[in-house]
Amino acid sequence: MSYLKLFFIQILLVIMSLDAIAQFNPIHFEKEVLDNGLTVIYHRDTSLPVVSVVTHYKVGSSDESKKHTGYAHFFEHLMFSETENIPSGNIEMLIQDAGGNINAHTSFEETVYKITIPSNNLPLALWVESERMRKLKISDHNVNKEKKVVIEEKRLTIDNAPYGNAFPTILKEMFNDTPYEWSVIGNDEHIENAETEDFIEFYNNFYRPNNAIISISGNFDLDTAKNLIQNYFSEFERNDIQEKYKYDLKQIEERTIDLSDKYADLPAVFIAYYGPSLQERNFAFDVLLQILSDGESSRLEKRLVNKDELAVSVGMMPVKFDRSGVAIFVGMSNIGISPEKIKDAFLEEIDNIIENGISDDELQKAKNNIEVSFVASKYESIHNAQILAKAEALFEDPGIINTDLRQYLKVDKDDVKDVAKDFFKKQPNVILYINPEND
Amino acid sequence: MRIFLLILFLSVNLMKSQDINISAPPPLKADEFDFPDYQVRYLSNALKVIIIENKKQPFLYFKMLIGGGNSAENIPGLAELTANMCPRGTKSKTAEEIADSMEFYGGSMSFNSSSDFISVSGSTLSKYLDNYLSLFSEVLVHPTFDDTEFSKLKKNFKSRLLSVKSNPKTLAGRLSQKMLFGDNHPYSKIPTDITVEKINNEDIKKFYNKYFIPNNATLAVIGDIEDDKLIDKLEEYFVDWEKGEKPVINIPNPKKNPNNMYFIERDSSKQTFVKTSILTCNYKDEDRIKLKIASRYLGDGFGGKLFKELREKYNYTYDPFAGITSTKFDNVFFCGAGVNNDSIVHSIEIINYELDELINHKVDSSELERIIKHYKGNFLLTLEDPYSIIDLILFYDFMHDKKFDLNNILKEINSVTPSDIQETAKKYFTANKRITTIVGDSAAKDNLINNFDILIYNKDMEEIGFNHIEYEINGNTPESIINNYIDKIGGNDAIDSVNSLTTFSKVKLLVDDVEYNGESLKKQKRPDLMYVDFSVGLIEQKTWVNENNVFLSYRNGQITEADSNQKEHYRNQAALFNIRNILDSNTISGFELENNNYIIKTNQSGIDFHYYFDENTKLLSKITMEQNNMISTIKYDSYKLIDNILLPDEEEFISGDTKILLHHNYKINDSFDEDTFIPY
Repeated sequence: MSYLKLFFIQILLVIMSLDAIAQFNPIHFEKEVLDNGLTVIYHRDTSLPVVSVVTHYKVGSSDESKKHTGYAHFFEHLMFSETENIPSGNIEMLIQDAGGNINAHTSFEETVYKITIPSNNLPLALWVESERMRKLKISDHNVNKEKKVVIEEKRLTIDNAPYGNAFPTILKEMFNDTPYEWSVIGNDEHIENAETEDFIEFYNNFYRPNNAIISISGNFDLDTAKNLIQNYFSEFERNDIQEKYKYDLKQIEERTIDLSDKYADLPAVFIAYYGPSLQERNFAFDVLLQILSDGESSRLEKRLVNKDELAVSVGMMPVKFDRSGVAIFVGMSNIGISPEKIKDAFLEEIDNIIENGISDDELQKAKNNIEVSFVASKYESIHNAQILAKAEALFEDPGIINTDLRQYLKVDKDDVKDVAKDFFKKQPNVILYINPEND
Repeated sequence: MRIFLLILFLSVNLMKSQDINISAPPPLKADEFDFPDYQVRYLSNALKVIIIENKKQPFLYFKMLIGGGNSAENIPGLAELTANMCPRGTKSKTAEEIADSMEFYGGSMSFNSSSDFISVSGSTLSKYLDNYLSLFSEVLVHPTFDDTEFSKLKKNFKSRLLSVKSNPKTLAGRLSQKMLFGDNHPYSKIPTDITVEKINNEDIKKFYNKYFIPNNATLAVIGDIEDDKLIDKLEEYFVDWEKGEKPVINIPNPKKNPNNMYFIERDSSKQTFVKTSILTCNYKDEDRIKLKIASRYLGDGFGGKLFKELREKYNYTYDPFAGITSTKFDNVFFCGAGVNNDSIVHSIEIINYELDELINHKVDSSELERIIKHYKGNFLLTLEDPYSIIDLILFYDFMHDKKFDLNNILKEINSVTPSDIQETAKKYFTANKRITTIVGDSAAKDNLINNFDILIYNKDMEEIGFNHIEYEINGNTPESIINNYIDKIGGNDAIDSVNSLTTFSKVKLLVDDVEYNGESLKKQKRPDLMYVDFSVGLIEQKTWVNENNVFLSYRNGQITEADSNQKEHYRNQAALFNIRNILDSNTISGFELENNNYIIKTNQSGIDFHYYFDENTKLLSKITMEQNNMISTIKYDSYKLIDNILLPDEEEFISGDTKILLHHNYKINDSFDEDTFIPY
């Protein structure tokens, strides 16, 4: 047997063994790009008469200017108001009347509209999204109404919530002078002063077919779906999309902040480091976080919650932006324990991994858990549609819905040790203590 | 009497209203589908097993319900602590070894306790089934209840109790349960530091031995496996689990606190959480499905009535809600929202108004049809999620002890009518059965104290004060003033004998000193039918009010259906002698004596009304209305006796530069054809 042949057999064996470990039914899809730049992804799954339509716009809070924060999220609210052919208050009614659900979310990089509906109402779902893509009516009345609603939403989720200010405080410190320094929901002042004209400009700028991906997942006839897409979306014109704001990320040195919180009943510590960006696709980093904080057998849970009884709960929260990221550790104190003790124990665990690496079992366990998440996330059409759209938006490759697992399974112990060094070797960038005000 | 004012208020909006004619595409041919078939089997130890095949992915979900949750021994925290002790050490493994072994293969297993049962949920890749079942069974069958682990769990449990103490939703929920069920009811008792401290490891073992037996549990499994193969494996792994005497759980009757309004102060709260709760029926009662649909009518996301009113119309909130609990006995219907601190009183009024509306009027049939379609559609959508399928089947089995039949459930949902909703609302939702719990800051408390009788509680659910508003001037109260007025115009019996009223009016309209003359005809019939034909100068308007339906037409003759805001106003107008209602609606916000007039102040739907009653004649002399700094006035004069009832002969309406003078003639109990109140 020649050396080359042996080499190829070895490669084949590696691939086969990976596939043998990672058993799941892959997601088959088809991608189409219309002349106007609209990308459409079709994934058929006929197990139930249900279909999901996800319309993913590549616009989020990172596309806002510092003086107009919260606009992307505010605009998401306006997308539920009225269109040329759907009077005010009827968008949700139409979908509910057809037995479906409608919702949306906005993040730093995206605004995503989601409809799940009995599959015979696919034409309705696509028609509603076509109405919203270019026929939305943006009026003073709707803008003024939503200002109050958005303010109430902000109170509910941030201003009036225990620990609600932790995340905004960390972002402001670490991403000053970048589009990530403000929360997605924006500042009160900007929301209150928002002008209708600003939103019309925002709509014309970002809500264009060439800035959107429609992902259809579920039980439908492919030809019918393609015809509907042509009928409802091909008339819309493409437009030059405003480029993302350019920024230089100046990494800050260690900062310690103390905040008092009127609503928190237990002290907590938040420890933040700069982390990998979405574009980096750092699989080893995800494996590291899995080992650190996922489940009762994770390193941090074992040490901080079960062994030392310092914390009631612990977790690591990765937040990935297009070209940057942050990883935040959260530890909530057990009764009578100061959060400084949690910080010290956390840093010891980090040093331990940097110095000694991880065990074979830990690596295999992390991979097994990633595999479980991977398989378990493929049941619902709305999840599949969202993942396909997001993968297209970020990497122009929806196929990673099937192939990412293989990347995770390739990660080895050295990769995890290296990535721990890369991101956690230096002191944390922000240490934030939250102390109950009524303590 | 306020009809003419409202015609003017609404005319601008009405002129803009259009027929809703949406050119949405029609649906395609619907695909048929069958609810997944499933097997019910019993292991030799009497464990009931439900198996649902689903080969979409190589995965398995498990869920077990064990009868006897928080209510089982009436010791708050005992069931939850017992459940959470199971994975903290077995005969052959420590807590750490259990977590390591379970999570190594990506398996999961979590214990929760609710009012009526303990649930154990988990999942695994199909290829690791044996590893999973080995641990799953060991944790359930052979826990050792180690003392050290118990101490750690108790400490953690107490910290967690503290961490939810500032959550407004949790606080309102706990106080609602306490007030609806009474202090000692198992559905209302909550664990505290003190009660948890009293629980020892022996209590845990006793609870486990009594309730954790196979003939008191049901296991459901969904995923990529065949029935027989799974049963064989379960027999193997649960061979040591022995059946015992099935425990009987007795739940006492609730003892509702007689008061209706409760407040918990949450320092510096930037929003106020308002929750109205009502005791209803047992889970198996046929009323429950009607109550469920009524809750969706109020709180079905974007389409719910509270969303339309509290969020869309008044913008007081982001997240109105409504629902009904899922306990075996005495389920609680609830609704509410986290609202702007400046809008608390009006928000409470709106919630009460919408509950009143369910009692007083049949819900719109097309609206009900939409709610039902959405509800039914959601059954289909949730079937994508294997856990939802398990939940549907297992929960139904637990409550009914029979096989889940989706078609039957859909039939039940389909059969609910507007009359059913109204009858159910009449049975359960009357004002004296409601309790409202409010969590907000000290300003919210002061605001509420000025408007309601209210009991004040702290975050530990201990009563710290009672504020009762007594409106009284010279021995007169709002109630006595209105009763005097009623007596003066003829008394309740005379008023109640009026089944219909026709009002012919000569009308003089003055706008910017230009005078227009015309006529008006108004026909009213109990309970709330009304027809108005108003024609003065360029204004021509006809109004038809028939139960829930309100139609309007203008000069062009086109008939349009009123929107929900207009309906609310016109239906109020249709009721005969509706001034009596202000005493029932808990809206009185002030009482004064000024220039020989007693003034009763109310706030209804965001409008401040002041009713002026002449101190000497006892008659209603004037009503003022203020909204958005715009004040309008109606004056009544020259009361005349018409068939034993005093009615005002003259009425004057003033708003800004506009004045309308009306000279009335009345006819009581004239017979009307029902068609009078229908436009077509």
